[in-house]
Amino acid sequence: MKTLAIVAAIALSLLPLIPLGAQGRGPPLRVRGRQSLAFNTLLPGLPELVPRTDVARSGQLEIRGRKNTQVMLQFLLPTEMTGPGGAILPLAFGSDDAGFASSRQRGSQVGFDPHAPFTAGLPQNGRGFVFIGGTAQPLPNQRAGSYSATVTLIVADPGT
Amino acid sequence: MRTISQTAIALALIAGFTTATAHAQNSDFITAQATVLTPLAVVGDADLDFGNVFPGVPATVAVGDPTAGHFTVTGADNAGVDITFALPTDLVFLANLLPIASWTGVHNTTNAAAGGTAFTPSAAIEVSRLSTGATPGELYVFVGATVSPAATQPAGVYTAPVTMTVVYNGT
Repeated sequence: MKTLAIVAAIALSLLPLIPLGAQGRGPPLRVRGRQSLAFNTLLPGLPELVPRTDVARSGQLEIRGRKNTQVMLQFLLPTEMTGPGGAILPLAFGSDDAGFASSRQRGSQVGFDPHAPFTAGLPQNGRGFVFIGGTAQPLPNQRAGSYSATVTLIVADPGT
Repeated sequence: MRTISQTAIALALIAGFTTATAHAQNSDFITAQATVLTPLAVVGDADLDFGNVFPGVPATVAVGDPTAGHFTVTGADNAGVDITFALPTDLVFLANLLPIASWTGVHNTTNAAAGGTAFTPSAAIEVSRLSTGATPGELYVFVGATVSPAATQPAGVYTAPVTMTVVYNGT
């Protein structure tokens, strides 16, 4: 038992010094927002869909991690945007409104449901791109003004 | 010693988990953003008024007449809209009916029937566009019709609602 305690203590002292990168070589997992999901101008009463393949308007995030590894993607999605005086504008995401690609080329995207975790593979260069579309649903009497909301992407090593 | 060893193992696991989390998970956000333009407002600001009509004598109000029905629409600059009407087939006084038909209409981005676009008010969509330029986001609609009182039409004040609906059409 004394031996076990010593081993555990040694392990305890070493663990913080051993980054998980030691399980595979490469940079730590990182995600960065690159482009807003832009609905631009909306008319009251007219829903507006931004496809995930819309290069100019879809939301885009970039992932960097270890090459040839899998990552788990999970969105935190808003249900509405907030505008002037606390006015809200409903926002919806369909089951194919998210996409993953190993390049920024829209044609290479693999669609997935942004409401559910999705496992993606990072390619040889360790970079991946996540795209998100959605539908804004302004009411007929929607108050004029600017609206916004936050779309968060969590990226994790599925092995942890 | 057993207690010490168990504590050490637990601490090691916690430290390991913490380290793992720090190295294997990351998050960031983007913003969803939109700018909503002015909502449409429709005001029926003048009744379609036939004045006094005589039994057996049809009466018509033309769209250019001072007593034509009049709606003012305001909204976004140069926005396309769809116009529809819910129209009565009769004006009503108590249990008496006065037939109304032969609807006429004009929509215009300036407040005058002359020079506007003629159309036939109905449940079918009439496409128009709000004004742009010096007075943006305006549209004026003028409505006329004909009433046909019977020769035995009871005297009285006959009325019925004329409802116009305008929605953006995204053009």
